Amino acid sequence: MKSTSDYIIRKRKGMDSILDRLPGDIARSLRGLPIRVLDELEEIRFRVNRPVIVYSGGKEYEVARMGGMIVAKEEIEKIFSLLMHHSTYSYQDEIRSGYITLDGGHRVGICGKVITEGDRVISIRDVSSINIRRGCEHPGIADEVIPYLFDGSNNIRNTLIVSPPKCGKTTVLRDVIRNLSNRGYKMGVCDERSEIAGCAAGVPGFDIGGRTDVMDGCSKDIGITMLIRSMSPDVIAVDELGSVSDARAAEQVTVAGISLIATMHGKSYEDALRSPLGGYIKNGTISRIVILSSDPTPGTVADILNSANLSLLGQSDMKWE
Amino acid sequence: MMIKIIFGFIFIVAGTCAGFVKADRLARRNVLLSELIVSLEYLKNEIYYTHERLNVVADRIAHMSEGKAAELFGRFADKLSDRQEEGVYDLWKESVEEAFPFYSPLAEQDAEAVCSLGIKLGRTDVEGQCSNIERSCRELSIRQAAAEMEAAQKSRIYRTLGTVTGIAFAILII
Repeated sequence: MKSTSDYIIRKRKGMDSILDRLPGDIARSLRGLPIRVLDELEEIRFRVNRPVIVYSGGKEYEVARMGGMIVAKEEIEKIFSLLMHHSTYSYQDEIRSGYITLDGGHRVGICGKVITEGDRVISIRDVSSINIRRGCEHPGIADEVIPYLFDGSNNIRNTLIVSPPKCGKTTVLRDVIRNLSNRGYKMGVCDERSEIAGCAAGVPGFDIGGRTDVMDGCSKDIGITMLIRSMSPDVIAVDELGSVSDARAAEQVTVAGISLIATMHGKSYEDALRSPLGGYIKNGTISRIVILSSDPTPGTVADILNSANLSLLGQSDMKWE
Repeated sequence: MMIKIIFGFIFIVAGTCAGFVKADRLARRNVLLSELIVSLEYLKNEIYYTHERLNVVADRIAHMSEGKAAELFGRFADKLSDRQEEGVYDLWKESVEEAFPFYSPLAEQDAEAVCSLGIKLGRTDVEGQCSNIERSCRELSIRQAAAEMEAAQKSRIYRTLGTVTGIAFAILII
C-alpha cells in the first residue's frame, strides 16, 4: 500500500513539475481538470491559434480556460521561454534535436522554423507548436520480462527492447533498471536525454534503484566509456540505440564483459536485424529481444525472442535458451 | 564675533566636505564600473562553461561579486525565481534601477548601458550570449576609461573648489 501511495505522490509531483513551468492561467486551467484526467495525463499540446489539447487515458480533451480557448503566438513564445527557464542557451543542443527535456524526465517536442547551416540544424525559431510528453514510471511493468534476462547463472543477457513510439520502451527500461538494481546488480545508465532517470540537478526524479549510477545528458559513446572506466557496472542501460555510432558504443560494453540492456525503435525482430545492431543479434551477442506494443496498453510485452527469432514468452523451460 | 568665527569654520568644513563628496562620487563611479565589468566577465564565463540556467548563474555571480554588482545579480536571481512569468528584460531593468537608484554615483548613461544587456539576455545561444556580454563589457570599459580620466582631472579641482568656496563664505561672514 505504501509503495502504491508513494507512486501516486511521485506521479502527481511529476505533474506539478510540468504545471509549475507553464503560465499561471494555463496551469490553473489544467489543474482544474478532473483528478482522473490529471493522473492519466500523457501529453499536453499547444498550437498557435488553437485550443490547448490534453491526451489522457487514450482520450483527447480540449481545455477550456478563462480569457479564451485559443493559444496566441505570444503565449506560445512565453510558454517556450518559461519551459527553458528563460535560458535558451542552456538548452541549445537539445533544441537542435527538436525537443528539450524538463526536470522530471518530461520530453517537450518543438515545431517551428528550422534554421540550418548546410545539413546542420542550428536552431528552431518561430515556434508554432509544443508537445509536452509526461514522463512516468510504472513500477512492476517489467516484471514479466525480468525472468528472461538471466542466463541460468545470474548473469544478465544482452537485451534489446524493441518498440514503436509511445509503446512504453523507456518506461519498461526504467523498470528493468530499478528491478535489477534492487536485486543487487550495479547498474550504469547513460541517460543522454535525461528521460530514463529524469535527473534534475543530479537528483533522479524516478525510482531507478539503489545501486544505479547515472551519466546524465551525455552522448552514448562518451557516457558509456566513462561508466566502464569509472563505475565498474555489472549492467549498462541505454535508451534509443539507432545509429552506427550508437552500435559502436554498445560494442564497447559487450567487449568489456558488461551486460547491455538497450531500447530501439522498431516493431519486430526483422526491424532489429536491419538496424546497426543486427550483426550483434546474428552472432548471438544480443540474446534477448523484447518486443513491446501498445495493445492493450503501452508497455505490453508482445513477445520475447532469442537471437534466433525463437519465441520464449510463456514457455518457462525456454527461459534459458 | 565668536559666533561669526564658528559659522565661518562651519562654512569651511561644509565647503571642503562638499568638494570631497563630489570627488568621491567620481571615484566611486569608477569602482562601480569596474565591479560591473568583472561581474559581466563572470557572467560570460559561467554561461560559456556551465550552460547553467540564468537564475542559477545570477545567484552564483551574486556570491562571487562585490559591492553593488553583487546586489544587482542577487536581486536579478531572486526576481527570476519568484516572478518567472515576467520577461527577462523587465526583471533585469528593474534590478538595475533598484541596485543603482537615481542618487547612485553611476551615471544615467552607465545604467542604460547595463540595462541594454537585458534585451538579449537568455534569448540566444551561448555564442550570442557571449557576444552580447562582450559588447556590454566593451561599452562599460570605454565609459570606465572616461570616468577614470574625469576623476583624475576633476577630483582635485572639486576638493580645492569646495575648500575655497567655504573659505570665501567664511570671509564674507567674518
